[in-house]
Amino acid sequence: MKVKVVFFASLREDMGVEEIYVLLPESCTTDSLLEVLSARLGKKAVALLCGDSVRMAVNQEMIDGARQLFENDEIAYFPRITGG
Amino acid sequence: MSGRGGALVAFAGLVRELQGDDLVGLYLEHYPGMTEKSIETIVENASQRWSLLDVVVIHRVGKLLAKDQIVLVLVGSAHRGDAFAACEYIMDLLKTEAVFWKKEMGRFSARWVESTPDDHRRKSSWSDKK
Repeated sequence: MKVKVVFFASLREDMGVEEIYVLLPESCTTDSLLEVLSARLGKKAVALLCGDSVRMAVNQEMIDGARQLFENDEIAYFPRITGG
Repeated sequence: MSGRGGALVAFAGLVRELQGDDLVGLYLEHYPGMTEKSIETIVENASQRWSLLDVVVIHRVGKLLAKDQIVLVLVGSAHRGDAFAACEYIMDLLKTEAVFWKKEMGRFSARWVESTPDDHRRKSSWSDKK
């Protein structure tokens, strides 16, 4: 199945990419996505994604911890928000 | 706002003059779709907490210069108490819950802004009230 991964703000700059499409086996989780991203973007990049201040959203909803992914899901990684 | 409205509170946030000669403005990044939803959730929470007739939130994104208006919050209600409180609540939550990232743009460099402990204190203070 295909999913879309997007990065924002400092993470987008650190990754050097705004969005990528990733092919995953069925019934993958956000944890297994990280393994695939490690092969695509390198271990250093994935270490940044695992940082304490990094938040994750699936289909624009904030999530904590691992979550099962489905075809065409959009997974976003971003640093703490600083709005207003 | 309907004829029942007796109070309209407006808050406009401006980009303050940035410290340091080489700072020229701000860049505001957002996540199209999720940012709008995060603002709607804040407004819904405010509407459940206070008796409000109408709320408008306008937030700019992209490049902004000092003195530019960055955000406008308008709250209408029957009485001023609800309008004042809800307007302050919406602004406090926009700081910590709305999906935006700020970058300070200098003439020669740029840096992403970190959220301040005061922003989080102001947000938490609302859980103790009312």
